[in-house]
Amino acid sequence: MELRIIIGGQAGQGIQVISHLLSKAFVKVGYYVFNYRYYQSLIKGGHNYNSIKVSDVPVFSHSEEEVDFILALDQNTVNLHRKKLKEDGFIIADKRISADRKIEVDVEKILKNAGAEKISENIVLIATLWKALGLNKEILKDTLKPKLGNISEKIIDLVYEENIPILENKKIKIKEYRPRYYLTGSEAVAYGSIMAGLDIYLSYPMTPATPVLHILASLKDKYNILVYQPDNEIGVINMAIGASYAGAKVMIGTSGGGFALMTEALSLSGISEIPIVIYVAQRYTPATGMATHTLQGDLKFVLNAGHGEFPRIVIAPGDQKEAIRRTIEAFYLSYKYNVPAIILSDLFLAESACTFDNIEIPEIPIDRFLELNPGNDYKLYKLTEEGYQRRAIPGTNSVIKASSYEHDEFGFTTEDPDIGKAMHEKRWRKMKYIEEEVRKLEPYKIYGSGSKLIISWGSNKLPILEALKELKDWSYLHVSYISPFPKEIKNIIESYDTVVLVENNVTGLFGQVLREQTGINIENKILKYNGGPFTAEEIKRRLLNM
Amino acid sequence: MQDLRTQCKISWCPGCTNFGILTAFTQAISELINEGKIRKEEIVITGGIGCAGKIVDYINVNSFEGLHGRALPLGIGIKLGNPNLKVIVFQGDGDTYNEGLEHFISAAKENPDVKLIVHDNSVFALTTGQHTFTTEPGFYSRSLGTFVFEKPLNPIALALVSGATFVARGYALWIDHLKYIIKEAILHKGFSFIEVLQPCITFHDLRSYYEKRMYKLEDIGHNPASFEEALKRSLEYDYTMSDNAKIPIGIFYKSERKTLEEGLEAKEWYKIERVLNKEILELTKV
Repeated sequence: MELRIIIGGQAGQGIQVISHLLSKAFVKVGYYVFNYRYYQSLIKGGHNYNSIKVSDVPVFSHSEEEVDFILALDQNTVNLHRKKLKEDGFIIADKRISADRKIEVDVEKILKNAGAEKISENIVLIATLWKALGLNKEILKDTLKPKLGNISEKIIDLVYEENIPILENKKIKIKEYRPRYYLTGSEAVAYGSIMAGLDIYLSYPMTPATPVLHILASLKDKYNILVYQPDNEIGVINMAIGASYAGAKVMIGTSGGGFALMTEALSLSGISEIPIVIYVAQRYTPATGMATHTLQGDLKFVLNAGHGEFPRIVIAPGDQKEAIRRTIEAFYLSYKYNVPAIILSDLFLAESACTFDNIEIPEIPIDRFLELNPGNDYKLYKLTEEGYQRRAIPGTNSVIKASSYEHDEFGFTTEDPDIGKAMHEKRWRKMKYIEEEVRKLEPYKIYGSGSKLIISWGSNKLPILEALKELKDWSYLHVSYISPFPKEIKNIIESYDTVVLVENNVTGLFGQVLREQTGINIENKILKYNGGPFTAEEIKRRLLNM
Repeated sequence: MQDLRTQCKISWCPGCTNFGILTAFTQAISELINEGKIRKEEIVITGGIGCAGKIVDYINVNSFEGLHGRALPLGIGIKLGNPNLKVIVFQGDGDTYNEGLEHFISAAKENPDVKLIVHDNSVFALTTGQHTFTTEPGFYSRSLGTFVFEKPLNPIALALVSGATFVARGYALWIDHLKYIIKEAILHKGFSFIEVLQPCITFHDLRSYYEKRMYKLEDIGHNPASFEEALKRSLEYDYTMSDNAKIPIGIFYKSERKTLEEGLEAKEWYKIERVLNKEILELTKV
């Protein structure tokens, strides 16, 4: 069973909110849901829509074709999406909106009878859908009421009194309820950071990283964290490094443009060996690009950002569930090895929600990795065999000197070439230990058992896994760790005769990194760079056409 | 007297007026430690890049040498990371009024309990003689290839209108007076800003100009509680180095309001024991 629904209208009509509530109602009747959000960079007007796919098996992507229902809050939605409607699909809309294959409701009358404002028209449409699918109205009420109040109950009751046809061939069977996790990529990073022991989150608003800022700000009292929006991204990262030096576990968040402003201080984190976790949610670039559209154009930027050579962690989670564990890992690696760690996401992953039966949490300690009794002879930059040690913080019995200059073991500025060489080597010695550790953290994974291989990274995992349901002769190699890079995938890739690279960017950035790290050059590329994410249908089509 | 010296060889020019700031500061914190008003372990100093920032190597307390223009947000972060630390930021005029001007205005507005000491020599010295935002017209700047024609910034007035709760000006070679200002600044609760006139004896020697024209605000009965009076005094000297200028030094303004770390409820985070919190996943459960 699969059901595809588009809910569209103007910004400000509550499409995003209602689409998530509808999705949760479907989860409550025993289904899996994927919810993709398309929106524009404006506050009122324009066109926004959410594309929902409901399935009785786990579902990882939305579809832009063969849609079962279009819920149109304005005429524009019909005009834009009508062509996506299945032959036996329906448009649910107010009687004033003209469309064929319409299930009509008198939205104005229902709102008037309920004593509701115009903003509630989205409730009328989803209640109409719910009834047409032959579903129990109480479940929908239970889902909407906590968020939208008593008025939602009233509207649902009134809609159910209306003469709406129950569509026998689209009727949904209520399945056994099993609690499931339904979350966006933004929620995953926010919750993952709290699980990892976050103390402070600093961020200057930038789409599509902003939801993490909002979520953490709303949870600050509950989880005893500090959330602050400093003067700009340069202020953000310098403050973050200061707070981390003082003993707090800190994360900062931004998108490509904001991260560009942070790069000088990224290098500061590198040389001063003060840990910091950076959430970078990519959007369509270069420069301001298309603020509310997706792209994976910043991979090589985050890998190379910051002047000079210093070790860093770069992890790109592929789905919402993975984003939780990768966020926890980013904190662990950053604070254990005193290096900056970047969680590289994108708009598609950040804004889409997916349903999971369970969420795996990595078995790693939640620790600050601090030395709280350093003693008088503690040296912050001791040339240890491993290149790292537990970090002491100011306020103890030892003087702790950190520096952006090359420094000696105590942290004093140096221009001594021998010390400079020794410090470079010390910082890079850690990488060996980080690589060993990362090998245990499932840095890549192969899905499926076909004889041909798709290779990709980041949020492409979602539509690729969805496509893989039908692509029985294909396997998928998903790479989550970009730095340190799991070079061992070389052997895996070489064992396949047919390999195709899938990326949401113009020049195949991951392919370039792969070549640099393993020497393998993948000729066959499926690239997309128009601001939209891949769909499973698109991947299947393009693979067949190669 | 605390021994706050370090093993570092001081690389300022012989006779540099930064020695005056170093002496005034180490005496000030030494006295505050002896008076039991602060503890040495809780002091953290941050430094920008330039001759000013070098000071962090020469004082044996916790320190973080940051980036050019960014020692102030670094210091604010340290305060948010542990509000029990006493954070003092050393930056030059290039750090503060050129590269990192937004952080200066932001700190004055947000009022973190962080102290900013600006070594203002009105020149980029370590990069050998370019003009800064406080350089007077008529100065030959190597980066202009001619004489400065722009109007300089007035940092005292800027700090006042930006909301700073402690605003003072000192002179690097009037060490006792500067020490008194630094002690007051450290004891003040909120953002303290000290603009220190610190003539560069190599590239911009203004010692005799300043010394002929400075007077102390305490000597004329200035009331630092009055914002209007402070603003009026701040406008008395406009950094253009006119002949008939009078240069007030001392504490222009002092007031109190909620600090940034109070408003944000910053804590000694490292003392909080956090465990893997799986309960939060309930928020995503349907």
